[in-house]
Amino acid sequence: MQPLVIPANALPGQTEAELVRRAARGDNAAFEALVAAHADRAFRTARAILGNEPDARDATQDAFISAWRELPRLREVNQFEAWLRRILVNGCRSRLRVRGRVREIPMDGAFDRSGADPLIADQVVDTDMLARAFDRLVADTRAILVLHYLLHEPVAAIASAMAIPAGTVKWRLHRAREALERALLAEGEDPR
Amino acid sequence: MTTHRIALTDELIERMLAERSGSRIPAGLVGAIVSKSAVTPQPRSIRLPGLSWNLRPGFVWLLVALALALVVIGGAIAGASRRTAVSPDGGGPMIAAQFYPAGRSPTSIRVFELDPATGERLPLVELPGVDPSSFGVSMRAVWARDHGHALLFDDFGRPRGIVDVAHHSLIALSPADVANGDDQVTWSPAGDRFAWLNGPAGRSTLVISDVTGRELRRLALPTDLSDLTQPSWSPDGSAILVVTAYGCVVCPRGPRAIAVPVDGSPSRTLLDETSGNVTRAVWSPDGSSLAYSTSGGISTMTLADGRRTVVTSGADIQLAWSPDGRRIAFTRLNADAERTGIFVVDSDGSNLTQLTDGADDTPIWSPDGSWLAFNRDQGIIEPSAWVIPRTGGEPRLVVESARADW
Repeated sequence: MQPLVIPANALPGQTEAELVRRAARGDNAAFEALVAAHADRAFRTARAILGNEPDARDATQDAFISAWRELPRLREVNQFEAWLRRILVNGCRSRLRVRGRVREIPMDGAFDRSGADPLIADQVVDTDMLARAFDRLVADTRAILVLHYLLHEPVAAIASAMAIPAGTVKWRLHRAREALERALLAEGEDPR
Repeated sequence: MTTHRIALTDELIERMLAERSGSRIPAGLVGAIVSKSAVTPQPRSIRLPGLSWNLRPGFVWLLVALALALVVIGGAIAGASRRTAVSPDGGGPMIAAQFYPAGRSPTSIRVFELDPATGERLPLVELPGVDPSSFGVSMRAVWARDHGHALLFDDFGRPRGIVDVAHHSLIALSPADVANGDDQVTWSPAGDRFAWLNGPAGRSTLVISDVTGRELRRLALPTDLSDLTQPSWSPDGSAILVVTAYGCVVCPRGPRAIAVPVDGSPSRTLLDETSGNVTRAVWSPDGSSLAYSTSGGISTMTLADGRRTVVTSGADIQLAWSPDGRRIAFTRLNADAERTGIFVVDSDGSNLTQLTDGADDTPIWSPDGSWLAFNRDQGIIEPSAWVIPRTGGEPRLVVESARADW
């Protein structure tokens, strides 16, 4: 079956809360609009946490399908995005935990530097090394860094996504940054 | 050795994550989600007013009577099948913890024993006035070997309470600084103490506490150890095993398993891998050998002579010895890591048996070694606890939305 993808603006006059209510009643068109509006950000979040496209693709798909199944139980329709993010981040954490923290070296195009401008070579080396250091981190540490540094989420939103108090977010962000620094140090000392 | 040091700035982290997140969503992903949702049913609640619009009252009563009859007949059939089915007694009760009621704040945490044969719950303790967000979404309780006490962990692997089973009491612990998250705590074989890894790499200590939460001693660890994880108390109680260089692929020195004597004497290296990626190392029940997992599979090493035996070759993690030390259960990831299954193999590598296939992990042996408990990820937030006979068969759900120990 070829799906009919309807962008968010194809449902004029509908607020997100209305779309969520309709989707919760089984309205596929409303859910399509929600997917179209949120899929890009969800995928980029998963991609940053998991580090490769196939895993990110699966995690994004799983999160939306879980959201579709659970929508009838969502009471706070205005909190759809935060709720979806929480499902997604938890899914990414589960994937990383089940992976047994086996370290993987990303091999896809995002890390292909063969055509890089020599003028930015140093920057490329730095971000590559930092990306490898990031791969050393455990799931929760990755997730909190992505929410803060990639998505620029406020502390309250991170607290909601990770199901921890706001005060703990600040403390864990501090610890996460320290962990990344240690990982970076270890990465710099490893022969490559 | 080349050394390249860079300054970690906010801007660099942001740039790295922006690159890592990819420039755009893959083509077809939105369509794939929409297609899948279109064929995925949503659970629908029954709205009684709707019946009055479509059905006459007499027909409704007929439906109710039929439903009651089905319940009575179904109950009789289920009762008969329960009597004839193999009962997962397992040689002891399971333990689990849940929020009660769920979805409220503050709420309570209930820790309960679970009869794996009947699903009956025996409440052990209740911790009231809990802010659920401070515990995360996935608690677990872990038995001491004698089932006299249990540790309650939050979602971040931090011990948050000690359950005294005989007295139905709980000692709440402040969230502690446990290194690296899950699996950083180990019970002593006598069940009277537990040890946990505390502090960052390079400054880690092993803290030993008694069942009242009182700290008994701190064991300093060599400062050249990095990424410590997975403490495992030796069966004779004399030493605690830790794995170092966890997750490291190319390291100045290969992953090692270090035995740290409880009496404070110098630690010694038991396992020194020049390559590979040791993810777990566990004493055999009689203490004569170690089983360990690397990115290439599971092996054992006899401590007396260092003899190594390759047990499995695959992406195998979360290994657990059977109580009699004859078998090893583990989780295997398939090639694309999409599915995970529970496997059992004899400790010499023979009789490899796949028990489950799907989204299952964390095998735990029953005390008598006849059953295995495992977590099954059912797609949202919290896994459920299932059991299966060691020899294979139909898995059975024991408790939803909770992880159980046996």
